[in-house]
Amino acid sequence: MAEIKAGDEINTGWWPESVRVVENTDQNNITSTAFTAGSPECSTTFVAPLSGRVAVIVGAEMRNEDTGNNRVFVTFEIRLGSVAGAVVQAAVNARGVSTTGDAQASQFMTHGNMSMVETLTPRATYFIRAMHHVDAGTLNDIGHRRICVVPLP
Amino acid sequence: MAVLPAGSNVYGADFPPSQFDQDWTTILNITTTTYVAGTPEVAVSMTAPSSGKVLVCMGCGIRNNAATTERAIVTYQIFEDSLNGAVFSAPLDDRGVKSCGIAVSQEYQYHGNMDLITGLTPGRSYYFQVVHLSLAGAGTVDIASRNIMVIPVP
Repeated sequence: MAEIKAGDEINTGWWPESVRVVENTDQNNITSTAFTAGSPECSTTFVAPLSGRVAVIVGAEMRNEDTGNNRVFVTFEIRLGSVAGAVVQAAVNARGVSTTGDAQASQFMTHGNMSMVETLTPRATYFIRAMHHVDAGTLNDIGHRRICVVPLP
Repeated sequence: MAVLPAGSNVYGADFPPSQFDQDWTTILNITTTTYVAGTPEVAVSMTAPSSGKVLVCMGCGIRNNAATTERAIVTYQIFEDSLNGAVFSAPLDDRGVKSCGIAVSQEYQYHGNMDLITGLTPGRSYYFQVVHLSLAGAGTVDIASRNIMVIPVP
């Protein structure tokens, strides 16, 4: 392997920046049983590191105001480049958070989840946004959505 | 000092060790409606990396031991330099764990939350202290465990 010479460009271990986005606009009386991004979206972009791996954090404040055992789920999806890009990580419940599903009205509860997304293309830009849906019911609300993306070795 | 071959990964000396603290002492019948650290305190100190960003992961076991909608919040606050330093970030419920508030007596539920803390001054020490409260002060919420982990990130 050649030595580095004067004037050569030295890249650091090249870590793209960790990113964070928060949306505190209430999403009230959610009825969609299919994943939806809500309005406004809680979205941002990030650049994949050389490893192609990132940790994605989802945090949310949610409640179910009726007495049915309905849940609201908040998770994320990732697309290539922008919102119009191809889906590279579809929204799945297991990567996100949900309410309890007890047949009781709940107050707003808060917790989070974290998972790894792999095989991203190094240096490519990705679009990520929070996605949510309900089991059933008309009285599920979201008060806070948060997405963080941290590049991993 | 050895010659650095082309293609080597060059890393700044900017990733101080990750830190973790936990305690499983139960804290019962909580009445405080303002954030307190509890006994024993669960806290870590961390030197900020050059990115000025750290990932904070916290978890806890909490319950409401009565058929009411009372809730507990476990979260953390951040001080500059030490516990005696200026507040860098006051407690926020959204980055911690807030219990469900269903009107039935609950067993302990264990949850976590994570957040990216930004805007730290590289090289400066910060103190991350776990704190909690009850929303109504009814004296029915309990904590079974608390933990916090702080990881420097790019």
